[in-house]
Amino acid sequence: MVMTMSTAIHIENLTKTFDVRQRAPGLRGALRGLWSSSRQTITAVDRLDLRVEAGERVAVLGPNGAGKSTAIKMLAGILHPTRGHARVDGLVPWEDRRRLASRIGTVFGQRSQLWYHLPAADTFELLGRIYDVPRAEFRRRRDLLVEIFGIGTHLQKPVRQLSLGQRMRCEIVASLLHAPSLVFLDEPTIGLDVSAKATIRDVVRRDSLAEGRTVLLTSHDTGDVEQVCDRVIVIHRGRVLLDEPIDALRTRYLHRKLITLRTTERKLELRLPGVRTLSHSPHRTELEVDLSVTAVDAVVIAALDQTRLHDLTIADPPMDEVIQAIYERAEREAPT
Amino acid sequence: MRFLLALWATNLKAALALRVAFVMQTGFMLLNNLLFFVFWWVMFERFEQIRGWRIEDVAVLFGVSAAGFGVAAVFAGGIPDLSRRIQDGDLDPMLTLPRSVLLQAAAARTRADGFGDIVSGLLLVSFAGYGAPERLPVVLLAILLSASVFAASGVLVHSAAFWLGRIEAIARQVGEFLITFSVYPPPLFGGALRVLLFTVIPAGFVSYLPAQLVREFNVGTLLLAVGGSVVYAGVAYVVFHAGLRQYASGSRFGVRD
Amino acid sequence: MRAVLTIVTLSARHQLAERGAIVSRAAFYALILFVFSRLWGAVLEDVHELPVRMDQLIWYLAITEWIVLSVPTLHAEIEDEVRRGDLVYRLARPMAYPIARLAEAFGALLVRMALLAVPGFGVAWLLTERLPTEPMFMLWLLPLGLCAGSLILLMMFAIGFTSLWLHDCRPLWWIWQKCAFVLGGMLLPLSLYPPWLQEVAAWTPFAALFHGPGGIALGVDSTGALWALIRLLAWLAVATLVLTWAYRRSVRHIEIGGG
Repeated sequence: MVMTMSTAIHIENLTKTFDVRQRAPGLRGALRGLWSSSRQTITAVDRLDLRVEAGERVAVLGPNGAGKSTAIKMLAGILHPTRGHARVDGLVPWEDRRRLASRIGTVFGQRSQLWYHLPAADTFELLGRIYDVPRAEFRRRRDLLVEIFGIGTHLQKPVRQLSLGQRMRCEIVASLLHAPSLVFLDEPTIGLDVSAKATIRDVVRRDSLAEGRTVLLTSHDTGDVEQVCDRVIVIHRGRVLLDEPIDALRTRYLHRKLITLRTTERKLELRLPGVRTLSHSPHRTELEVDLSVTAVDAVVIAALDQTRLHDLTIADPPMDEVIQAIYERAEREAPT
Repeated sequence: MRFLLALWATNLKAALALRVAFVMQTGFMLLNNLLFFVFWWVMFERFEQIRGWRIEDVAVLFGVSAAGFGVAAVFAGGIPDLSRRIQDGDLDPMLTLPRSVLLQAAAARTRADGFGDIVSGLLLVSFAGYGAPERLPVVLLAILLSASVFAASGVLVHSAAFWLGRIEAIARQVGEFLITFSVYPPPLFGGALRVLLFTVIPAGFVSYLPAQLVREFNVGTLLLAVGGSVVYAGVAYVVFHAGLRQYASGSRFGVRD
Repeated sequence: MRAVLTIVTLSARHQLAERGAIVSRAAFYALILFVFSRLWGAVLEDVHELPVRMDQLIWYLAITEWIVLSVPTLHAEIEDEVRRGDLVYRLARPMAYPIARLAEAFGALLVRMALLAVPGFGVAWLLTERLPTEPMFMLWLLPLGLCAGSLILLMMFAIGFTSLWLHDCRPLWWIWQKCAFVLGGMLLPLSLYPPWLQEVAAWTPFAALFHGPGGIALGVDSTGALWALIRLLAWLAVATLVLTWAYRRSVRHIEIGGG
């Protein structure tokens, strides 16, 4: 078990503004830009308040430019804030960067920590030295993680020969070798196939539960959010828009399903409460069902009353729509 | 320190992983330097000496700076990438590790052609008659001093990217200037230029002083050479970390998120 | 043919717009001239019976550097294309790619030659306070410079193309440059070399590339200049034939190998 203070992340009034300077390209522009340039102040993070307890698994969502990457960079000690306070694992990130670095792990989906032409095992060795993990301890952890994440056969192959899923598992192992109490995962399943995603989500969650590791996950994938995390925070325009346990999110927002029916009859007319027809073409009907009003099976049964079905597709609304619905609703309910 | 050793070892492994490219780069660089020395050989065939400098003197000058450049390329081969890294935000992952960002960035890779430089440099130094084993410590010291000034000036120039953005082309040009100046005998250049060669473009510290150390070791030269290296390293360190603070404030040109 | 001309003009215009890159080249050019003027000054202190005067040496270098610095870094651009993976797609049509690339580079060459002549010859004039020969005779530099520049472009293309097999073609380029120094008499006129080396160098294209045009500074007459031009044209012809053949073979080899 990892020993931590009970509050893993404590953010108060955290603000980050950027001065974006526009300058002309080229050397002349660069030199001129030194003393005269058009300045623009952008507020990326706006008086953010947040608490995360040790061992929690939290998803941080928000559209690009919402400020979530900026916030996470401040928590990791990469950026210094303009105003406000934060403590991660008891330390102030931008004051104690190196000490904090030993206690956190990071996985950036778009950037690799692994050396491309070498086997992952070599990167692990190097990381062991970087984090100053005692040899015996390092070997023990490495073997344990390799087993949990199932990368034993991939360890000695150069990273460039690995599939994306195998590589991501190695990346995550790399971030856990030094037993951090907190892990930042940024788009960890991007570009992976379904089974690879499932594996990663599963091991991440189990590892967090077993070791009491706090997980902060950023992702555009609902599956990541639903299967790993217990709590969802939505950030919009630099502020916390929503902070709910995932069950609450499910009931409040993810209660719609999109049903597509391919019918033997040319047209399908369903008049059920909570069922909205999105589109219909000959032999094909798309419905949106509000599950809080009508269950999926009720819809199917009603359809079967009118026609036989060639095909039936039941889908979750895309995450963007969910987020969009959250924004619209939250902005309606709580004007800034 | 052990972390640096581990980093260098990993670098070497990575470079060797592409064996053919490694050998070719080393070989080509060796050939390249020796060919350049042929030019000087031709010069000295025609003109026996240039302001008191003979071919052996130029050999030491060129040899020490080539080897110094090679050592910098091998152990601090990440420096030429530094301005690009700064501009692309690639220092971020380094900030999440509990080690000095400067060391991580400098030792981020090894340039295989540096080995060619080192070998050719050593060959030239022994051609000049300073290859005896007793001389080895001084030669190595000279090479190390040269390497540290190469590395430090590289860091200084590339750190401009923290404030000026895309300066890769300029950095490369300045590097070329430095190498050009470091190969020609300093007696060629008059007073004002000499000052320049020991400050703004540290050719004096990169080649002349270390070469002097090899040719005629004396404490005065040693102090000057070491002093120069230390000052350069210090300035580079300060400037880089000032830039890093700027980087961490996030106000780079048009770069967010 | 019209397409080629369009590419040339477009590229020339583009290069004019990107004058910044040329500024740093010009600075380096001036620096080299300065360094060498000191070198020759020092050298000639002790040696008095040289077949060549100091101002001739400086002008010689001004001409050879003018040629070499005006050539755009074609090899680096091709290496970039190889790295990005674009190149393999453009190889589908055997002749179109090199012609397009070379036309583009030629346009840039024209502009750079025009622009670099000003600081280069200007600094040379400042350092020597005279012209090497009659002003009219200097016009020989136009055909000589263009032919030399074009030949170098062909060689750059070949070097850049090898990055399909080597990771990094830069070391090859450096070696080319050193050959230019040594065999081309780029820095020191070949006429000052030991005779046996002059013989060896004469067999290489490098001598024609640099000692040819450089001869204008050394007081060569019209016949000499004409011969230099003929040698350059001959080498251009040889290079074109060799490269066409090598290129076609490589492309076929790549296509068979699957890129």
